[in-house]
Amino acid sequence: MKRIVRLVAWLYPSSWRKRYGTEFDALVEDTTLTVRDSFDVFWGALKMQMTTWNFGRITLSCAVAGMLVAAAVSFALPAHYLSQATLIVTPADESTRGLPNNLMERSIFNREVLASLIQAHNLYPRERTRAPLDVVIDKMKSNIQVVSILPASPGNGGTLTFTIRFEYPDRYVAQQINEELLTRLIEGNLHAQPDSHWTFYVPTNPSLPAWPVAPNRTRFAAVGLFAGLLAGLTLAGVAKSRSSTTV
Amino acid sequence: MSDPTLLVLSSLAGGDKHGYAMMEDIERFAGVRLGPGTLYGAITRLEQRGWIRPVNSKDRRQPYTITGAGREHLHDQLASLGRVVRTGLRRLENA
Repeated sequence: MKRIVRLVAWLYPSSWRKRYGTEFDALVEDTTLTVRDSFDVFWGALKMQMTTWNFGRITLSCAVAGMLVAAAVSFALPAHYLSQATLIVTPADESTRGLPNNLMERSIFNREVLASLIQAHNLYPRERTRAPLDVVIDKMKSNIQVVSILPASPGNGGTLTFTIRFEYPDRYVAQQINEELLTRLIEGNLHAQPDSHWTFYVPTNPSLPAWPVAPNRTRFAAVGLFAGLLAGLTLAGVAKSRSSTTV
Repeated sequence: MSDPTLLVLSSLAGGDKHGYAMMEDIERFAGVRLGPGTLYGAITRLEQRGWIRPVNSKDRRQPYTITGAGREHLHDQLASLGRVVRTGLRRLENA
């Protein structure tokens, strides 16, 4: 136990150890120590650090600690990758406006389509062990985004431009599923309208994402830094008021 | 009473002592065992306030003595504590 207490005593500030180290060591030598004493020394060292550190040092240390903890948490969380593809849909003639009714619903957001994709590619294995397929389908739906980036107008001949995005923890799977979604969208149109009035053009194939979109590690680190800064300011304030009021 | 600084001052009021002797003395008269961290936290604060000071010694065990200011502070604190004790006891008797 004496050895542990001596080790813990190294946590005291060096200036304190220089002044009291020898006599403290003599006390440790003379005393029959318990586990409680090692915690007592640890707590004493911590308080001594707080009283010897100045306001700025406490604040800065807490801010850096907060940032490091948040960064570590962000690395512990599963990454999510976003694959994107661009799709341009051009009507055969000026009189045709917009896509067939419910094309997106039928070909991409259709529950049967999504269920078959989930099962065929063994998507969301962990979620499937915990929740029914319906819940997993809803989750997959939330990971799909179809965003109109250029709406049809008389000026562009009624051409529609979309971005189709799929987010998944595996970047290769994200790309593969995005390809499937795109194919199903085009095929869905052909099935709905065999003599299709629309031309589908894919200028940008589903991308293989290089970097995760989530968790946003920069944002995590910034939030950690800010939280640490606030905690540091509070702690420094408490330490300052305690040192001025404690005998 | 468990304020370590008052316990250390009370111990030193009875004569100069090093850390271990203070621990033993405090345990004897107050029934409180101060851990090494608590004891040296109190010693550090008291020395910073000028209420105790180290006595010249060649031993690794550094003895301390209470200063005039320390005696004055201890006297004030104990007098204040005494008033609380007397009031509390009186009220208990009258209750």
